[in-house]
Amino acid sequence: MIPWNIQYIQPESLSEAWQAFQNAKHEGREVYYLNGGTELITYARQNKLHPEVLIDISRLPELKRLGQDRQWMIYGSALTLNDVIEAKCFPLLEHAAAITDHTVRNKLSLGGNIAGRLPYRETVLPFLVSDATVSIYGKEGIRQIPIEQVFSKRLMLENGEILVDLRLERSILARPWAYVRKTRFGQNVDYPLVTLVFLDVVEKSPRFRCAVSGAFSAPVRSGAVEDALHTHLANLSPENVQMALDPQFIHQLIDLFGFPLVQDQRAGADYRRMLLQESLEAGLIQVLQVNNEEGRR
Amino acid sequence: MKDGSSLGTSPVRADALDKVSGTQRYTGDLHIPGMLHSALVTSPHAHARIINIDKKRALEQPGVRGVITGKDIPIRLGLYLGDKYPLALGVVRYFGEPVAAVVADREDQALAAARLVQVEYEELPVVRSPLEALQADAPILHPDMAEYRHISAILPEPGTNVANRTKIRKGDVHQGFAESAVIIEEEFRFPPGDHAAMEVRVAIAEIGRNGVVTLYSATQAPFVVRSLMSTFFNIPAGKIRIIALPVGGGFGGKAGIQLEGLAYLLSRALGGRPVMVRNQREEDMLSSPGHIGLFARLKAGARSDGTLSAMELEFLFDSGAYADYAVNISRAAAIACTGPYRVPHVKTDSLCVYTNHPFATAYRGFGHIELAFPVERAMDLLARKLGMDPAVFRKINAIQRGDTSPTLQIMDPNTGDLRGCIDHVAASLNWSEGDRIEVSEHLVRAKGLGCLWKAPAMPTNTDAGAIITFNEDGSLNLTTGVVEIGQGTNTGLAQIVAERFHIEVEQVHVLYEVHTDRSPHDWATAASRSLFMAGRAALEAADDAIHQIKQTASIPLACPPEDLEVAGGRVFLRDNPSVGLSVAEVALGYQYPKGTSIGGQVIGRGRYIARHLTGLDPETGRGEPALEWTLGAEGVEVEVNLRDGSYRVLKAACTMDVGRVVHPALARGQIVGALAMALGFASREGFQFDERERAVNGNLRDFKLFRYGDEPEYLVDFLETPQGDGPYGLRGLGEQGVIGVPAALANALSRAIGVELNELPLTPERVWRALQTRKTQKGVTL
Amino acid sequence: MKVYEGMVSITLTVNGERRPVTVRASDTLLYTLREALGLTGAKAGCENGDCGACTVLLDGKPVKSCMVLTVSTEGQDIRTAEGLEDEVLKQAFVQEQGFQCGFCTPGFLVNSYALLKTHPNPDDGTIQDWLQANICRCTGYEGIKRSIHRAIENKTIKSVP
Repeated sequence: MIPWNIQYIQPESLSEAWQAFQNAKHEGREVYYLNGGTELITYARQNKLHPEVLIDISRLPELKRLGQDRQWMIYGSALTLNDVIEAKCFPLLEHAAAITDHTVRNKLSLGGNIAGRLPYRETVLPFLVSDATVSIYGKEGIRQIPIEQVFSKRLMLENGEILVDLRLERSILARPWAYVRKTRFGQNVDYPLVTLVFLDVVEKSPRFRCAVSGAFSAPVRSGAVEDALHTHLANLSPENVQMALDPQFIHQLIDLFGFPLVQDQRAGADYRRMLLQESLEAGLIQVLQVNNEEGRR
Repeated sequence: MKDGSSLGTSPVRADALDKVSGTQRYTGDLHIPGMLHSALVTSPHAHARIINIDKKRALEQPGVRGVITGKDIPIRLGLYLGDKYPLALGVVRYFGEPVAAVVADREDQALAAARLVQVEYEELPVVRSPLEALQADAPILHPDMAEYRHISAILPEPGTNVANRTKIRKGDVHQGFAESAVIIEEEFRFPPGDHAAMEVRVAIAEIGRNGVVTLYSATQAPFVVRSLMSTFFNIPAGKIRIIALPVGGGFGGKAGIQLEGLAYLLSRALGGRPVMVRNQREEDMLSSPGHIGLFARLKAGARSDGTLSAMELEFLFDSGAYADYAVNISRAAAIACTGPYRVPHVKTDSLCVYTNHPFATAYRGFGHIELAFPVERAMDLLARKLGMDPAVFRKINAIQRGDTSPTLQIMDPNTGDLRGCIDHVAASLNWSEGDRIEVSEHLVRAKGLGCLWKAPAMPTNTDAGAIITFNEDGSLNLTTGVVEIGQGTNTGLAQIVAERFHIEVEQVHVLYEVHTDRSPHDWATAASRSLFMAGRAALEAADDAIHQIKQTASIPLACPPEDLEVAGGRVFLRDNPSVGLSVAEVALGYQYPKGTSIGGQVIGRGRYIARHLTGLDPETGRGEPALEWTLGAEGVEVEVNLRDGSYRVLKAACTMDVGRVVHPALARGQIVGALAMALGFASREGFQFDERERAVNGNLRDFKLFRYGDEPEYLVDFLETPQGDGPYGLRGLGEQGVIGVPAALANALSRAIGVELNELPLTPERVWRALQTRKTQKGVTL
Repeated sequence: MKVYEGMVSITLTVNGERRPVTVRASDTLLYTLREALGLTGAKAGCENGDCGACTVLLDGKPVKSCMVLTVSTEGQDIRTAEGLEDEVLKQAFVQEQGFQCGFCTPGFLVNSYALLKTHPNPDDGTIQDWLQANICRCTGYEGIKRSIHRAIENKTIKSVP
């Protein structure tokens, strides 16, 4: 339980939420947005943080958008991970969202996973590789901004800004993809040692996108890695897929991410490296084979 | 009317509907009027001196009734060795040790105030393992050991970190090794861990104006709690009432004295007002005791014909900061140290060693699951050296009636059929196809075995009792001292009594709460002896009741009592069954038509005390501590990925000789649950520590347990070599299912990867690292 | 805009009944159900979202009540193990030994109830996806698995005219 008293606010609009946040800040009170609460409430119980004001944004209609308009597929940040999975629109995201357990996923939101305290943020990976756009509510109302300009290890939000939604171009939804997740014991209910996504965006460049979480201290998408993939795969014919899986190449790819592998109580860095190697291999097989079956587009 | 015989059937448990409807009450669901709540302040260090505790700010908080520290209650407690203050005094010896308790009107007030207690520490050097603890320059964690009260069977060594040493000297190991064709010598280890029962520990204490202490506790051992509280707090035993509601999982973790002492002391400090002490999950895992760790050295030899000749064992048990049950665990491990095998020459030193780890208490298997890891690994290592099949090797050496245990106790005619168990398990796992099959280039299926035996490690005067009374409708009430901890013993007891009375099991109402002031004495619901001993007591009570029924009935029926039979709810002439009365007409006294009443109510009394048990000789370990041995065999089949070390447990098999299966579904439930628990322990559980020896995974997020879908296919069956002195031939089975599994898993994985795995937990990372050593040695890339 | 601070009086809908309660704004639904409403079926197994012993239904969906603020559940339909009207499911757990100590059982029942309402004939993958949210330390999950399959079977039998 949370032993101290809090103020709970349920705003009915984004501007009300924003205002309430600013008011609390002005009064010097420790304030957080509540978007599902699975992390905040358990962290508060463990005394890891000390919220005095909680602003519940989980019901704001702008944050619950799920659907397509002419250009975009839009995912509101207050959608629960089960909402995302049940939408059955974007398999790569649905895989990435199938973390923790089904019951927790009825409360854990997309925004909670991407903008929370845990470093894994696995549901951001499909958006990173899709050149997604994020909608953020702030001082000037809602603005849209490419994700790579606002995400570096975590979402760089100004004080009080709200992640409203993430949107990606509709063409992405049907693109070939790959997803690999490794945990300590093969259990789903565990933090990842490696989560890897691949996306083949076909007409754009770089063509093969790749992002990783778990192996490094934060989610990473690396231009150097994608350039190397592009070069390595450029001259590949459908019959030579196996060459893409040259272990030496994959070994070098890992170093191109530019971050040290995590060494902690859960696993050693060398073990993570081996798992990342395996995952890259499996991911490439997955994304390339799909490509091969459909023929080059 | 039914002639009884529910033995061997699986009647529905009486607590089933409440449990599936959310209406079963546990201790933590109770509200006592005026109940106060408490919160603990625990140590952030593994070893430190307490310099100062500042309660001022905490005491000022709203609702706070008191802040108690070790200085307020300087009474050392212990089950066998009195080495622990309920709240640390002067020094903390493990990360999470309670140093203060805040009592307040509400839980949130207690928790809020607890955060404001300021404790100043001076860190001390930590002892990280039993090996470190035994080094000449190791810090002595209990410098006052010489002053500690202890029972005579425990032999602490003041001036060292050894809380107990048990020796076995059987035969002459030098001679034994001289006869050996093959010898192996290895080290084995695993870290301390946790029971992780779903119910956390909780106790509520209040003291009446007349001095009667009432304590509700989630305990497996209400009478142990009463006895210890009487001794340590100088309260007359008759003025202590312990009330044990059904428990949400015990596994040994609730079998000693846990939060009860603290709850009592807090109530006492507050004028007897009711105080609840309830663990947060993190406290339940770290502050309250868990599963013992072990470092073992083993040397074993076998002759060329496959018979074992000698075993030399050194068990260094990681008891953690306090001794609790651990001194008995190390002793129990010595008593059974060879595993269920015939070994003529044995030299064992089993030590219970203090470290700065969370301390240990009884855990399912009690010394036997721990010893079985090194011993059953050794069996495979020896078999391989001899070029023998591991199943055949075990059968050759399987202990049988007439053989002697390590303490020179002769295995009696009740001894189970271990060879038969091994055959059954081998068949279950299709052993004849081989124990290592290559599925593909990187995937291997492999199998491993582990045998088990266990006798209850209990005091030589362990006992049970039973009282039977009757209701107006002729149904019975059965009261024993057995606590319902999930195992369903009460249903088994009802079946046993129903069998004796030849009635339907639904006619026997078993009391599901133990109140020490009105239930018959029972040592503890532990050691897998409840159905055996309470069953014997229940049978005596049944016979006593039947005798009384016959006595009363013989008068209106005008016949000698010995001509009467009791069955199907009637008491009648054996040779003329139509002449008789209903039990209902007799059990509360018989009333003649004109009103005269005779006989009085029937009260069936039964008791059972363990027979012929003795202590151990301190030099040789010789003695007869074992009431009855349960034997069995286990095995697992795994599928291993040789590239990354990941694996799945496909099958887990167990055949156990239990004498008589009273309730097949409950018996299977115990074995299956034990298999799962042991697989969890062996594959992924165990505390991890940081560089300052603070446990970092004392919660259910990071301490990984089996979840739905992790379980293998369970293959369970039973043999029934009767236990002559057991009720209807049964013997204990609740915990034994854990014993052989860790080694079976290690054996299977070692077989799969071709590298010997002698350390738990067997995480995929550990398997992968072992595979790397193979690559290094052979220069082979897989 | 709702603003709750300190102690507040609200009305919850629990097991089909309107229940006025006075709660702290920081109280979890688990705490309120157990302490204010005497519905002790939901258990504080870890209060960290790991064990599932606190599972209840919110608008028909299973949630871990240790991670839900009571004040956020106004207007929602709350159902606990005590309010599950599903004798077929309960009998399946009784007959197939889906419990031993019973502490995790209410959470399993609530989750299973919601599972079978959502997927009357779930495949093993779906069952595992849902039920790995709840930890059992006694049964090794075999009895629970049999209970679910027995419930599916019996519900199918019942629904066949």
